[in-house]
Amino acid sequence: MSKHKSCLLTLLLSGQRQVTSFTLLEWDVIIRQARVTRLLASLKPYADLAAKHTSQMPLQPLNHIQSTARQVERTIIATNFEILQISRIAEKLDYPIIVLKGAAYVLRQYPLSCGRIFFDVDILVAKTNVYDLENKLLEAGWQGEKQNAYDQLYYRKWMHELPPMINSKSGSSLDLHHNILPQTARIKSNVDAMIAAAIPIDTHVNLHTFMPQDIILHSLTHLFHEGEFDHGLRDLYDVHQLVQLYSKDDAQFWTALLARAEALNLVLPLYYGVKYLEYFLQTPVPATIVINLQSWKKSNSFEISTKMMDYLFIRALLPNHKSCDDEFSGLARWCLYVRSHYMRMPFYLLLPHLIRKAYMKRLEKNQLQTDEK
Amino acid sequence: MIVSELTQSDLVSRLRAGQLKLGIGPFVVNVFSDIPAVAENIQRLYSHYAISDSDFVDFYINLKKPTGIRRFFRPQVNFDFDGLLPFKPLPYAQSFAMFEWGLNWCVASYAHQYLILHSAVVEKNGVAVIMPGSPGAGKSTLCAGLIGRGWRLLSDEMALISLESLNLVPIPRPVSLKNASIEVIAAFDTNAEFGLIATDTHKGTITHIKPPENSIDAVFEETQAAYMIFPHFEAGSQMNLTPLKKGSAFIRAAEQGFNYNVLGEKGFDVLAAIIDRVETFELHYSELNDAITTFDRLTLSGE
Repeated sequence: MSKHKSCLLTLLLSGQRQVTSFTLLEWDVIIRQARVTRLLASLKPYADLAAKHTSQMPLQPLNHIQSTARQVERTIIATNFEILQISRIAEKLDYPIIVLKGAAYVLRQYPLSCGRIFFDVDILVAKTNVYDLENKLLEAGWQGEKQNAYDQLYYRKWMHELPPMINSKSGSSLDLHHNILPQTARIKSNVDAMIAAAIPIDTHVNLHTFMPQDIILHSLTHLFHEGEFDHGLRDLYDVHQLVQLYSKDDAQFWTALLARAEALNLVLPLYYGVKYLEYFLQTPVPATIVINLQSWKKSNSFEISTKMMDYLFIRALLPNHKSCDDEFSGLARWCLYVRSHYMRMPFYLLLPHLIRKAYMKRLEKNQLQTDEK
Repeated sequence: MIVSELTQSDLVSRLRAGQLKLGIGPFVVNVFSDIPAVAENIQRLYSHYAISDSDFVDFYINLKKPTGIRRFFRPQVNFDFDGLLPFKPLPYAQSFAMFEWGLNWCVASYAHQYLILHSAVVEKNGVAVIMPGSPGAGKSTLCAGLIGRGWRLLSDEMALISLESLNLVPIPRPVSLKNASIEVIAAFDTNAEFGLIATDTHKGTITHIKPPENSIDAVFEETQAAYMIFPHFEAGSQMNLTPLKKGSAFIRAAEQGFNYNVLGEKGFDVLAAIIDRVETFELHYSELNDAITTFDRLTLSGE
């Protein structure tokens, strides 16, 4: 486990080592770890601190951090532009639009948004309204990206979002969701309750974000049910910052979070989240919450042994870089990718889907080679 | 220590072990590859570059064959940057070209401490010229011609402009030539040293020439821009250097900005300050000698 405990990036983010304590050789590794996990710009507050107090921040890594932070500044401007476009549609609706994930953090002006590189805007409406909003977006200049009939069927029949759309003015991608989990997923939550509890944004008519507890649960559900762990540590660091922001002025935050997780049937992602927040980032979590989650896990154990899941998640959440990898890291990531499919669909749907995807990929490749000739 | 001080087998084994740190302009680039053409071209074209002993590397670049059956059947090459694969693989024969293109991309995407314009930059007698150019405008050919006649190469591909000092920061690299330009330069500058030739790339046939050694020696000597000249090669045309309105020059330079959009307001301010201080021209030419004579005249006009 030595490599897991000595990941320089998590030592920095968790505060176990001071930002001024790293040698240039160590910064060389941190920059790589942060780049693959999309955490480079998140290091800016640390780098600024080091530069301000001690002038012990070497210029070369600082350049890489500031460079990415400049990109994030553009992302924020672009995201605000997209939100403005969407709000013009939202004003005329009689149902709420919920802005999700990165765009929600920008809209709420959370400090963590200054460190977050992301590309798509994600929004959510109740399923009864999703086709209405899709039509209104298409009328307003968004265009469907995936035209192929099978992709359309896959998204519309099984997934929790419509095929991605592109804003023809800006080229930005928009994902329109009607649920937080695929319709075919093993775990069922209650998205209607989340929509009902969403909190309006003062500056935009009819635009909402989830309530704080739901923002956390959505983020963790996404992290532990998707197979993509490339920036898993970034997602965990989001939650690390969010829980500290929310619990600062709200002594009941954690108790309400656990109660909400139970009500929404999302205790499992919260259990994993708390576990790895403590493990990697030393996030302060009230002891009663930890004990409650552990006893919940004992009585609801439908996953393979906890040890096995630790083995997989710990490897997958670390930066995908040779400084953190051991000989089983690749296997762990693959296992979790398979698990994500298992969580997403029952086997009788999954197998034909995967076979079809593989076949289509091959077909596209052959087509490409014919075109080249 | 410089690359030419390594024996060929030292160079190859360092490349295979991923332990060749090259000082390229203001950056340290670590190259990792077991591809013979990459080693061959580094030996030919990067012979005068410093081997860095810095603890910090800006870009870790690994050129390798994809795994699986494609290793043997129509082999390809992947460009791995810090463990990421930003591009689709290219045919194996284009490995070195992919290194050059990929490194351009790394700088353009991750070095926003500079305003970066798609441009050649040359200097003589303290007179530095920025030559922005859309593909096909003849910027690389003219650049190769100029360095064959004593101009210092700051870059054949990208002007790095410091956001703080507005200095031009040199990043001399092998000059990339394609198709007919290869013959033109081979005839024009018989001392030019060429790298291997790659055929059938998306740009046609391409090769590189070794940058002048004194340009590499002067890699840390930053300078200020005096001229911005937009070159246009047109077969059969008369040599013609015409002043260009600053407003037009600004728009056309911004169009050639690799990261102009990323820098936002700062990018606008820096480009405006550069345009303010340089003289701006358009150059139409068909004969390389005529164009170079015109450039040489610019270095005298201030005296």
